[in-house]
Amino acid sequence: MSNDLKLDLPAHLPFIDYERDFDFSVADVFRAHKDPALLKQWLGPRGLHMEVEHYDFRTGGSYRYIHTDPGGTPYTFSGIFHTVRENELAVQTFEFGGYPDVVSIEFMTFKDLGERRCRLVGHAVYPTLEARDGMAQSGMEGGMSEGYERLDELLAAQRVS
Amino acid sequence: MSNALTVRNPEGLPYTEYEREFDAPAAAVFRAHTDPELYLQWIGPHGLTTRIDEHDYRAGGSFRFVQHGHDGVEYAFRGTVHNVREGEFILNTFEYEGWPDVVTLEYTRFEDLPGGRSRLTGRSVFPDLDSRKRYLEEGMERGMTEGYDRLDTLLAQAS
Repeated sequence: MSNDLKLDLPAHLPFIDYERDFDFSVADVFRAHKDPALLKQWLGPRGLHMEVEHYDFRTGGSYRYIHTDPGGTPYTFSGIFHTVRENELAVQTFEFGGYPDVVSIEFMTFKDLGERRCRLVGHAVYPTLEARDGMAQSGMEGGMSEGYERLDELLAAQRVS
Repeated sequence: MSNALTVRNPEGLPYTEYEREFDAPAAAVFRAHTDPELYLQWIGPHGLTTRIDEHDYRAGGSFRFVQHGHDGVEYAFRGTVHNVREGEFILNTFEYEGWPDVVTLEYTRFEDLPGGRSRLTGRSVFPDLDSRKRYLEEGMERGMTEGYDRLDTLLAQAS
């Protein structure tokens, strides 16, 4: 499938770079990142329950949400939004509660490809190479792939309804 | 001067690491960062005047300040505060508005040393190597050195 997640982990730089195309408009994909009621339906792998404590997707806003696995183990994530520009850009911090003070900064660019298609381009920078490697080995790629598949399904369901 | 700024720019990694000691306790150096009335007296190089638009150093807070020299040209900076632990730790984003979307992540740690002294340890995380180069070429280290020298003066007056 041409819309597969492309993930790049450069060997000697503490980055996680990714790209994902969608057969939906940039406004739809942006809205699915902005609206917590939509976000909680797709973010993360299948089989986890997501609870949004707060989620204020605008410049200067902040967020905190909890994923709970089938065994009941909670995983908390929090951060702030440095910049949010409608249908264009989000710059945010990201912290997993299991690794306090290991905070990354993430740039998400939303690009209009025309014909109701768009591309999400992500660039995350970790405070150390070890932190980046730890994140990469945590099952992140599978979680992101499944999340974006769920996002496809969510937007497709909204389109027909 | 004994309290020199030490700056390391590790080759091939988008970080700047720095260290500076102060003849004042960690609590005082921390407060000079979080109190806007103190912050505007020392931040940045000599010869610039600072105006603070917003300075909310709490987790989830934001800040913005504008500096200008005799020529009146303004330089604006802004960011958001990811986390703060009183007297100990600040983690914030930082952006020079003249270079939009080149946002860094700034880790600042404060620790007490014997004799009422303290050490500040900082780590800047840049989005890529080019933006670190750009900051370094624009005299970032000189601005930090002069700023911390002004902070020394301010702390000496306060004590």
